[in-house]
Amino acid sequence: MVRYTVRRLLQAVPLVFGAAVVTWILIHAAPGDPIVALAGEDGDAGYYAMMRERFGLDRPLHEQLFVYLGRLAQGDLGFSYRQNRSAVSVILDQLPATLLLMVPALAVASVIGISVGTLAAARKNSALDNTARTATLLGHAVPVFWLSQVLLLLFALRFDWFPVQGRSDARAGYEGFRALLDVGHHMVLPIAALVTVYVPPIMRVTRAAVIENLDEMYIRAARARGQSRRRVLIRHALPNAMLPIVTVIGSQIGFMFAGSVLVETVFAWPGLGRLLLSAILARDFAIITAMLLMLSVTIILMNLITDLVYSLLDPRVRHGT
Amino acid sequence: MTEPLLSVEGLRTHFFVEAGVVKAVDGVSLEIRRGEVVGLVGESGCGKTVTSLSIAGLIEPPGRIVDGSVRFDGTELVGAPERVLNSVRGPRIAMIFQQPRASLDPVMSVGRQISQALRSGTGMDRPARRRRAVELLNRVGISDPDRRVREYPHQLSGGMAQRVMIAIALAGEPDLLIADEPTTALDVTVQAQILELLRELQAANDMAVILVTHDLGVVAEIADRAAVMYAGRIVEECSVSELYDAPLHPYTVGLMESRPAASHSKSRLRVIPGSVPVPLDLPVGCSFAPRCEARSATNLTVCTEQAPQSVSPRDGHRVRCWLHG
Repeated sequence: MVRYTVRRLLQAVPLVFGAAVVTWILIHAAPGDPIVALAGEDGDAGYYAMMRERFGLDRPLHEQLFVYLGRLAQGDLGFSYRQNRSAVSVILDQLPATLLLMVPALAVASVIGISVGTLAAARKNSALDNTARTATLLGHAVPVFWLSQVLLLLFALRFDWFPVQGRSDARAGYEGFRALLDVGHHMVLPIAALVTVYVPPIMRVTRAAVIENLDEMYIRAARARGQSRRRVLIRHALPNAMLPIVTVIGSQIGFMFAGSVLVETVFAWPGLGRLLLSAILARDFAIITAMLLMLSVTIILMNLITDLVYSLLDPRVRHGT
Repeated sequence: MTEPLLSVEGLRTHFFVEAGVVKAVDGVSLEIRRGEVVGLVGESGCGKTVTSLSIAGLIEPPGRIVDGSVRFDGTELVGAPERVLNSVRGPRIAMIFQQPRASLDPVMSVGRQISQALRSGTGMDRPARRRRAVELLNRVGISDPDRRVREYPHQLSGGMAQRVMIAIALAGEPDLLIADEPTTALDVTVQAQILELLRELQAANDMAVILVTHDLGVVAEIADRAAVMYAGRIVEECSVSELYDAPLHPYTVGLMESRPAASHSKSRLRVIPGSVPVPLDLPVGCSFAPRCEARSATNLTVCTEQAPQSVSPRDGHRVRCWLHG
């Protein structure tokens, strides 16, 4: 198991470098000049030149790329000209805020998706199943930025149940537990929006996998030894259906930064999504490349973790048959 | 005479599919006494498996028991609530299946699956169930049961998996074991071992057994009585010795003659012409009539007009055939 993990991690190294090269080239191929974005338009040509030299932007592109990769190999993800500090420290500052939304959203979505999917599978083509499937389709179809805005308009502005934007109410100056509660209050709407995005794939995969397993012979055999329908569903069909479910949840964790951009922007949540958007607008190359690199590393790691979870869940994977 | 342990009467199990109604079991009556071994014999698709699943109340939609009764030890099982059926299945009526490895949950250890069968009704705690699981594995002839109890189905061979299934079935000390083609998927040498084990356990526990099989050799090996099924009905029912010495129904005669062992000379095997009728489109009259050589020889017209009733030309021997009615 340890050897396997180490081997997989080593295999990931060239993949990460490949991803780094591709993102770096893509970003430098895109229009826009970081110096102009930083110093403003119609600035002094001499000042522009000085800035370019300072950040090494005057050198040929391929040289810049090699410098970048060389630093990357030493664990240096780049320097944000705009924020005047390392890209990693900027990202680490924003990471907790994003996790604060993503982790609960994914947990809630997993619980809802798995339980509704399992129930829908047990009562295939019932009213419950049809309602759940229609709702999933809607959840899939509705763009998340639109849904976020509707949630805002309805529950924040119209009914005034939840705060409009941000992570906390700065003017109220809450302390201790009251401050936590305030943050929680701010979390509800963005999490609701994210849950709507996360639930449909989890529910659909759960439903399909449970239905498939309910047809298996060991289900009939378990019923033949007196197990009730409910126990057979929860103790046999669901555990056997876990592999595809874990795969979907794993891939959603992998893409969570990407998915957070729209929701964080609408709710003005100070997380990675908003950071990425502002970095793109400001042509802050270091931040963009570092974030995309982190995104690919997260996805690679999640794939590895998913595979490790497989072996926990399924003895056949564990024993390599 | 005492009341039979299981008495099936006029059982009809139909499957309501898009193409129409498949009458998989269409009027099966069968009685089994305590400690008796009955072979339920027939070709694939004749309704043997559906009959055994119907007895255990394990028919799932689109299938449904549309008529008939299954009385087990005084309790009517057709239409009984799930709660009652769940308490009968396992401790009273146990089943083993054709595909032993596919019948075990791949992600649950062997020990836990035996444990499940011990849960209902025994009131044993977890360590006691564990000990009993090891005992049962030992009982069905699995070596090193302390290790095997922690293993998973994919680590077992087919023969061992069937032994585990038998251990699970024995866990509740059932009165009736329904064995649905228990040896069909196994190697020939393993088949003999499993049959031997079944026979030994049956005698030791005085357990009634319904042995569902297409293999007349298996029936001869361990059954007391045989019931031959054709197109959803039992066409002949008699002792195993009469099945071999004096079969009455032309279908049974055909089955006996088509056994490879029946003729030791190198003559060609006899076959029954034609094939099993499509259950969606059963012929009027006797369902075997289109394939029946005896009918073409005697030219009975009634065979294609009216279904024969079950008659008893000899004591303990019933047959559904116009030649004998």
